[in-house]
Amino acid sequence: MKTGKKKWLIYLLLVLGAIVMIIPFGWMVIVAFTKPDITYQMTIENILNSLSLNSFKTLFTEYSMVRYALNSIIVSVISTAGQILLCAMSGFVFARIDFKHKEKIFILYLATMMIPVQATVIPQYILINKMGLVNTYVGLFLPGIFNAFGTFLMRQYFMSIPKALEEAACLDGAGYIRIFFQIMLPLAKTGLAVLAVTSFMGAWNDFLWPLLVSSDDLHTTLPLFLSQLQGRWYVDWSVLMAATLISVIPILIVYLFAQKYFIEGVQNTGIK
Amino acid sequence: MYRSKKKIIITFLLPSLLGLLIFKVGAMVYSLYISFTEWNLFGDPQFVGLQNYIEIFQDDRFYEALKNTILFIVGYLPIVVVLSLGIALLLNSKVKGVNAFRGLFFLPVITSWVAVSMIWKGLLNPEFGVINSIIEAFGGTGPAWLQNPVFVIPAVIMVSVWKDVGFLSIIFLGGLQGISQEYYEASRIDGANKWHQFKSITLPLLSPTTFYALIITIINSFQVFDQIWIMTSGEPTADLVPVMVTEIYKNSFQYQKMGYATALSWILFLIIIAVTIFQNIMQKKWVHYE
Amino acid sequence: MKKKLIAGILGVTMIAGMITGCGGGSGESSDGTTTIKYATYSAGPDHLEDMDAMIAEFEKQNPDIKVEVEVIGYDDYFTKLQTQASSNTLPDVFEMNYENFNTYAGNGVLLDLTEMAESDEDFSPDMLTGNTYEYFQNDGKLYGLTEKVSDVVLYYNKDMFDAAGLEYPQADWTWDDLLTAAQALTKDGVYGFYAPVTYNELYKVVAQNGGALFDEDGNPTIDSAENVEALQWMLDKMLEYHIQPTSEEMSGKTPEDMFKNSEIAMEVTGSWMVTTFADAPFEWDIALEPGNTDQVHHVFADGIVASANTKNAEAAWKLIKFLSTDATAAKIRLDSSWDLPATNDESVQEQYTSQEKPEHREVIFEAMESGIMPPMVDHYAEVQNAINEELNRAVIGQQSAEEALKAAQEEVTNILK
Repeated sequence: MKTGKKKWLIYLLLVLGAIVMIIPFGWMVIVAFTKPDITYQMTIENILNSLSLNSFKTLFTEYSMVRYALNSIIVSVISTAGQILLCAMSGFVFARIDFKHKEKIFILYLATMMIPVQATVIPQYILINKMGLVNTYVGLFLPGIFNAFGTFLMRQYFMSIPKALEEAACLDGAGYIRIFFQIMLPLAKTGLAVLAVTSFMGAWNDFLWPLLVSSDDLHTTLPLFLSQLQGRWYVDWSVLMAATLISVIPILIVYLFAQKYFIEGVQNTGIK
Repeated sequence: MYRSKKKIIITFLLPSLLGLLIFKVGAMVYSLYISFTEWNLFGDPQFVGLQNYIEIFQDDRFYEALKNTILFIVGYLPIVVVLSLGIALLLNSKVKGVNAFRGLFFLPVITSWVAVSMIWKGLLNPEFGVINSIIEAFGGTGPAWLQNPVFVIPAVIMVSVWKDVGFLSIIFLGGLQGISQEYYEASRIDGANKWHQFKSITLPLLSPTTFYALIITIINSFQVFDQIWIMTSGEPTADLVPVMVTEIYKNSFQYQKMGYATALSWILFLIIIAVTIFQNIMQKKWVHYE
Repeated sequence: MKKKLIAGILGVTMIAGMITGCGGGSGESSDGTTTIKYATYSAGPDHLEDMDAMIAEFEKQNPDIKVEVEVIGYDDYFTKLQTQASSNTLPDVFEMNYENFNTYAGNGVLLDLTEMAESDEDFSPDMLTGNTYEYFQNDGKLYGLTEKVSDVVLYYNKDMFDAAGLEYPQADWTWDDLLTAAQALTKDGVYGFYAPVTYNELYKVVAQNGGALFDEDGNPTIDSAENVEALQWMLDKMLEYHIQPTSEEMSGKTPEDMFKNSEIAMEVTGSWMVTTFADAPFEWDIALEPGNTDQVHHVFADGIVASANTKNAEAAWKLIKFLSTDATAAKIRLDSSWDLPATNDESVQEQYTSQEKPEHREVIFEAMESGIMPPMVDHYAEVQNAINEELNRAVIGQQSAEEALKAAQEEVTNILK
């Protein structure tokens, strides 16, 4: 259906865009796989001559890379799962159920996104400390699960699902729970996929909170480790980029996996 | 249905609401209290009433920071939203291999700021950088992007757009997926062309997503910090182009003036809330829910 | 189905998390060992093994004490420390640098060590070299022991000097000699010299010209004539003589990388760089930094302090004493060039200077004799930022050296009043 010329144009734009997007990432990859002395002199010859896996080796022998990656995975997976659960449920309520003070409570949700983290991180730390959760996994993921961004997102998705479907189900005698699980969730798969990616990224890249909450290797997450690798006086770029590359892989995996649901999309084939 | 409504609200909304109240709202209220005190993080906060706020409104830096923040938003917001939508449309095409491109466009989002700033400082280099080379090819002279305070914000806008566009376009992609093909079918039968379809089908049906994208982009860009901090670090323009959150950060963790920092945060908060409420009211005019 | 899957993952990881995540706390355990927490910024990323070795030795000497080490990047160290201070959860023992010491001591969060030091038979102040014993005292009381010191010297690329037929930097060089040499070396994309134009550099350079940023009572004397002259010299190197690259010309590279790449012939940087430059592909050496009216060098000190709230004061003191004065710890430090231990031991100097590269290692000790410590001022971070701002404006040509220092004087007076 698309004319040949249009397809050609689309490809051109895509390729140009991709090149622009990929350069810094490409740099990261090259630096990670070469020796640090050519970081500033990257000719093709230099690169080919100093390919090396040393940095990766160092990460696993001199540092507890595996431990840090594991910590990040545990915290991020739990946080993401929690967020998907809580945000889908609360988003549904805001989208479909009317109750007193609904608008005000929703503004309250939005308000929690509007205060810079520097203002709330210390009171939050004091609270977690009082709860005895400093330097624990629970302390690491707990505050992050309650995130208004996700609720807002799911509300938008749910609100754009035609009411007609719901009404039909209602006539069939379905209660809220059935509507939620059998109609809303499946139709909002794209929303859930987007939410999965954004919450995972947020939890995975979080730096300030884990900095304050973790105080030993058992709880250090990857962003903290990356910051440690930037030595006070000198940076081994190759090791730093190798570590960064490894820490970027899980996000890429989550994204590629979630991507499927973007394409699947919504099958609005009418009444069930 | 009425009986289960209460139960639903309690099971579905309460956990999230409670958590927010305990962890976020509680912290916010405490920070509001701190904003009326002087606290250097050691010992106890000392109550000083409105002094912090008065000091802020008399401080030139505050106005400078506010101005720079608004300049950033005014430049960044339209560009990133429009570009993201465009890229989303592009990535929505059913050409072969578009999956791979989706992944590629997402790369900047996951590229670390350390790598991004290294490369972009090179790209923005006044003498050897690609950006200025392109400008010169068209006959202009490229400015000293990161070394001239006037051009720092435009430079940071460029980098931010580049980095965030992949993320925002996912949001739009998601929204585009939600538009049923039936509408397009019907309108083609009616003889509508692509532009007309875009205007009267895509845009309106996308509006809930667009609304979301606008709101979170505004909320996030008022709090812009990392980009400015990292791109000007090591440059002579470091500290010369303040934005709201760089000042909040410096006052809280560097100067240990928590009272002043939280007062700044609350002023920022009130500004953001005002803008958001305005957006919320305006949404009735252009956002279509079914 | 998906819900069950999510719930399942959630449950399992949560349980796994809680089992593995129960962090150890400090205090007594059932078998009588005391556990103390120690936080450090200087151990990472290059000295983790050295830290482990030191702790192993300490635990060997003190079998009833266990130490849990936490390594934090320097840039984030004080963010974390302050948050912990605000909620009384500071580690038992932690590293502290000279610049920030006063703030912590003055606010009562550090453990007073005076009595323990006096009553400890195995300890006496002369176990520390020079006057390092005084560095971590506040108001007459002892709050910490100097762990290590470092200084700043002039590194130079011998090969480049040879190629240009120039005499190597001598101990009696002044700024003019430096300028002449640098001008001869600046060509073909190479810069003769580099030193930063920041507050940290400024307080030393003004001293090399007989000036000072603060007087004895801590009042700012920033815009004095000697200071202006000194700042002018710092700026001229970049903007007038072009023997030093501007940040544009450096294009994101660090000066250390450029020195290693033979793009800068002489660099003023810390003694800690000796290891980093060890594998440089050219011959290099160090010399005393040239002054103008006076010879002045940076000296930095890191110390070990304890939290006033620690429940293990005795164990804390033992660790502090160990890290500062123990011979084995000092040897570990020297072997890996982890700055200079503060231990007063002649063999220290011998061992250090007997190592091969660079040839004139003794310069590092000589520089200490004309050392200047960072100024002790309240609101240290604010003052530093205010001055850096004005310096930056001068660097980009928005104001002259004189205007910069006048503006800085005004702002700092404001901050300190």
